[in-house]
Amino acid sequence: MDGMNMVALLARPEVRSVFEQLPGAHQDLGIELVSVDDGEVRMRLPAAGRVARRTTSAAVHAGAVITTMDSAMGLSVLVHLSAPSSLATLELRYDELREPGESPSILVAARCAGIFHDVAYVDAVAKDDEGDFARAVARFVITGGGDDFMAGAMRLLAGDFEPDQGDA
Amino acid sequence: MSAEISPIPYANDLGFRLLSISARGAEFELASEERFMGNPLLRAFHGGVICGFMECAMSETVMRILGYDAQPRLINLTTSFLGSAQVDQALRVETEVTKAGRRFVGVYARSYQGSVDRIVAKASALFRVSEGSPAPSFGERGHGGG
Repeated sequence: MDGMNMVALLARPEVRSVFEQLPGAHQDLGIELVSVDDGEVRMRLPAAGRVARRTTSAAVHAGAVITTMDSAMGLSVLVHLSAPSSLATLELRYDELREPGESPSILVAARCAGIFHDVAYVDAVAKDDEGDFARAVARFVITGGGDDFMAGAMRLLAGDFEPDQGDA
Repeated sequence: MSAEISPIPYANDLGFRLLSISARGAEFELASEERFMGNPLLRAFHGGVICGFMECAMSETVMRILGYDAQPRLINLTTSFLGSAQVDQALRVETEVTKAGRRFVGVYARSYQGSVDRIVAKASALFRVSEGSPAPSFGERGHGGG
């Protein structure tokens, strides 16, 4: 995967659909990758009733918003790096400016501010129909990823989600 | 939550359960489920799911220990990730109320797998609580104010 540009990769519809169909939290919450443009990663979270924060309102719970922000922030680091790598979130601070409204979906935008040695600094904002309602800052450690990780990443991008198959 | 229905739909959807509760904090367990996974290559819990579980555990703690009927409103949540949490194993969270004021409540949480020594994340949160429903039991122990 050396030299493969993440931005170009993510522009391919089949790669984006793989990303959205990843088994786990993305698929469970229906998180969509909206765009990757000029270093900014945008993702959309649909406001399903089961992830609401209270029974009397469809406003999305902070946990689902943070999950979307964490994913968008991680991808913004990969876009900044321009090559696949494994990452781990070191710290994430989430500030809620106000409760979100009952918008049909939440939009998250994340951007990597910079990378110092192996630590990436990322900002993100979450918006509903009225505008910004939450902000997050996070630090990620870039853990590199050896040949096994790269082979696994290639399998994932090919739509093979089984972790133990060595048929890449 | 499975044993008792939480007023938080997202908490019910996660399906965690209350293990124990004391005057200062509580312990909860989130069962292992594929849908909580982040990167399938690592088979670890998604960091956001860990944050969501801890936030719900903290909210539940505030409501149960301090006796608020209304769900507290989250001001901020800061989470440090100290190790990966394998999605094939249940995740536990211990919470502790660190500050119980009339308007604001601070809560600390740590998340672990297996033994309490294997902490995978720690978090602190600040909540705004509704005035008019003070926290008598906690306040009388000298932790009130704010």
